[in-house]
Parts: sequence; C-alpha cells; structure tokens
Amino acid sequence: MVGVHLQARGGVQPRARFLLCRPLGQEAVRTAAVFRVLADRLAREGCDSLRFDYHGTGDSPGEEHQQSFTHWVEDTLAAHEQFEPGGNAPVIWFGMALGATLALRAALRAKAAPSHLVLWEPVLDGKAYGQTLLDAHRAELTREFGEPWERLLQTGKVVEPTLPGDVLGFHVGQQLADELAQLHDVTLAPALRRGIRVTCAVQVEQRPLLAALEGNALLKLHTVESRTNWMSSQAMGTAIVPPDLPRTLLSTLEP
Amino acid sequence: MAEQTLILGAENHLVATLTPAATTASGAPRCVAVLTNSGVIPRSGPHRMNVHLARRFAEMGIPSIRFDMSGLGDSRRSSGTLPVVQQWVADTRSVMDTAQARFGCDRFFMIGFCSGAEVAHLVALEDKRMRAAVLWDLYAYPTPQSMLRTVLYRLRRAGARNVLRKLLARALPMLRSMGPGAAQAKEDRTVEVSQVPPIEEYARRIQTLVDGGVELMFSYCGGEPEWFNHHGQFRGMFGRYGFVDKVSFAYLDKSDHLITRREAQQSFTAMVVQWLEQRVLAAPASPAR
Repeated sequence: MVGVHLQARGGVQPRARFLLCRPLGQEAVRTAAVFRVLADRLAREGCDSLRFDYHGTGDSPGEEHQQSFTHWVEDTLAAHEQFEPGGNAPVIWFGMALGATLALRAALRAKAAPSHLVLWEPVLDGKAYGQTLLDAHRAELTREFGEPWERLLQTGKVVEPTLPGDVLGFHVGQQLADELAQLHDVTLAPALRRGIRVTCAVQVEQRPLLAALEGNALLKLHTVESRTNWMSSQAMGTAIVPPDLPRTLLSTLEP
Repeated sequence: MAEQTLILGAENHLVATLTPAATTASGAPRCVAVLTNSGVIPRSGPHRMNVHLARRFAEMGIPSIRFDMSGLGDSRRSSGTLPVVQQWVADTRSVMDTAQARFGCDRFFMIGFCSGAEVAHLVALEDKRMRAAVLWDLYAYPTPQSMLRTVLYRLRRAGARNVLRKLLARALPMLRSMGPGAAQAKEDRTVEVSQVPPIEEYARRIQTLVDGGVELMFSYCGGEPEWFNHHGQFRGMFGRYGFVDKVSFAYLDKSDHLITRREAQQSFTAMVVQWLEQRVLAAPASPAR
C-alpha cells in the first residue's frame, strides 16, 4: 500500500497519532485535498498522521475489480500496525463515509484498539449507499454532458449503471457489491462496549438511527453543519474543509 | 511490477510514483511517460486513469513517473515566487530530471488532462526532452459551425421561447462575434486551465513545437457541447495554420470531460496506445532538438 506519514511539526514527540481512512472511489478523489489539509493541520497541532490508499485504490497496487470491504479492513489493520509502534501517544482513527464504516469494523479486530474513533458520515446502510452511488452516477453524467439522462441513453452515450458494474468512473466488482448489499444495521455499540470513545458525525436526518445510544458516556454525536456531495465533481476536490471537521477532530485531543 | 513512491525536487516538496517497465529489454527505454494532475485531481488521475495508463505503458516497455504538482495531491506548495503555472512547468522538469536519472532516458512524452495539457505544451516549449504530448480538452475556439451547433443545443435544452428571448438580448454581440477574424477564446467554461490564450498565440506555440519535431495528439470529449461540439471543429479552428496536418486529432464524442464511463476510458487508452505506436515509438530515436 502507498501511504503518506506526516510527522508532528518540529520533530517533537507527537501528542497523538491519527490514522486517516479514506472513503471509496469518487469520494476518495474529491476528499483527497481534505485529507491533506487535515494532515497538515494535525502536524501543526503536534500530531502524527498516516493517510493511505487501500489495495486497488489510488496509487496502491491492485485493480478495482479486486476491491473488497473485507480486504480493506485488513488494509486498515495493517496500516494501524505499521503506524502504532507503541509509545504513550494515543492512536485515533478518522474515517469518512465508507472509510468510517471500515474503521468501525476494523477497530473491533485491532489487537491494540484505537483510543478514539472519529466517524464522519459513516455508511450505515450499504444498500442505500449503493443506490446513492447509482443516482450520483446518473446525475454526474447528466451534468457533464449537459443532456437529460433519457436522451443520453437514446444516443448511446451512457448505459444504466449497475452494481456490480461501473459507477462514477470506478468498477465495483461482484465481491464489493455483495458486501455493500449485506452491509446493514451498522451499529456503534460493539466499539463502545470495547471501551473505544466514538465521535460520530451524521446529517440531521440520520440522528434517529443512533438515538438508542445517546447518553452513552463514550459517545459523542455531532450533527454535520454543512452538506457536501463528495460524489460529485462539483465538489472539485475542494480544499475548503467543512469547518466543523477539523474542529471535531481536534476536540479528541482534549482530556 | 514494483512501483516506488518518493519525495523529490529541490525543496523535497513533490511526491511522485515511479513505475518501471514490466519488460526486461536490455538498454534504456525508448521514452518515459509523465503523468500528473488534472485540475485538483491527485496524481492517480481522473478515475485512476493515470494509474491504469502507467501500468499499460509498463506492459509496453515504457516506464513512467506520475506526480503531484506543487500544492496539489500530496505535494506541498513551493516556497518560490513563480506564478503557479510556471511553477508547475518547473515541477515537471524537476521530475523529468529524476526519471532521467532513474531510467537513463532523456525522451519524454506527457499525457495532459485539461490543466495538465496546458502544462504539457508549456514544458515542451521550454524543455527539449519533452518529445510528445497528448492534449486532452485543452483550448478550443468557436467557429461559425460550432456556434450554430451551440445555439441549436441551447434551443433543444431550454426550449425555443427562452432561447429566443436570450438571443434577442444578445443579438448584437453575437453578430459581432460571428464576424470575420473575430474568433475569440470562449472563457466561461468551467475548466481548470489558467488563461486561454488568443488563437494566434496558441497556434504560434503549436507551430513552434511541430517545427521542432514534437508529436502532438489533440483530443476532445463530446461532453462539452458549448465548447467543442463536432469533429470538424478542430480543422475549423486550426485549418489555416500549417501544423494542422502534422498533428494527430481525435474526437471522443461518447466521453465526458472526466472520462467517467469505462468504455470512454478504454477508448482513451486505445487512442493513446495507437498514437504512441504509430507516431512516437515508430519514429527514429533522434536526439532532442
């Protein structure tokens, strides 16, 4: 795997180490700048960070059709083991979208669990996420070509997207499609039971899904203050990080 | 194939990934590919196209270097004071130095997507090692037929009544713009190129490159109907310049600007491979200009 390890500025002992888990496909492309800005900010705050590409994504080896949620959990654990050489600095995992769901799953298996999970808009329902991908694919090509979807179909410029299949410029293979379809009832409870502090940021309409856990001392729920469609090229890989994101991330350094 | 990602540049601020050739032919390779950002998209390229291209080139015996220009992807900003595009040109030349030292070859070609194409042709003007470039969706200039097609597109999209109202409001400037010699770069397109030069300036640059033996492939997508909207527009734009028959051109009408569909990605790759085989690799390995 290819990763970028950014050390705390000034070569000081890090206050914390952050493992940054990217989302999937087009969202990974469009959040790349966000991850870099976060890593820079963390370095200024005296923290190390590691951001990496899962197998079959970004600059890492592998092809898209080999991608699988299961393998990416292994990749996350491998990155964690590489990054966590012991020491006193707490290890905090941050993930966005499917990267947050991966982090949640991997945290249950890590030999040395992270002290804190920051989950930014995790995918809580794989089927719904798959449908969002398909819808985003149609919307993106409609916008890119400047023609209605039906006309694009008629002229042969597009075909109906499917899972498995090609969605938003990336191939989703059978295994990943199956894993997404089976991803449901994602809950934070096992991580909390393991004693991991969890900060979970969701859109306001998702809060009821987590209502049962409100009141847990280890859980902090945050309502995302702005909406960014990271699946759209309209986001243009913006380096404008939603302001509540670094704020939430840095709040994990507070005692 | 063992790819290697490293930090390079005089300020150690650039991040690049080297992909060696998969074949083990003796001696230096015929050429080295340079791949970089498209707009703010990281060095892996739009939909990971640069990664796929690098691995395809490796199968062909061509090593490559893909990198993030200053301030993009994983590369930090330079502390220098160059204007951004000039800095990117300097960055590209810097990674060419690294690739040349690593692969022992001073002949390069560059795949330039959008803003990457702008950098590619500027590098070729400055650095004789850049022997060829693919210029994807770089500058386009309206022609009478492209403008007519644009009007028809708008009519179909917005409905005749709305368009008629807008046309009436714009009638005078529209008529002026259709006058002889009035072809101006269209500047309202949302692309990541910095500034569209006047067509005469751009044609002069291309003529300079062609005269110097640089192989150029111009390619446009079909996803920008108000920008480049038919196959004949290329000759309509540049037919009066001597270079037009000495460069390659392809119109991928079923691709959008970001080459989103898999079929479009395959068409793009096939186009590049064919161009390389016929126009770049087939050419005698003459010394740089």
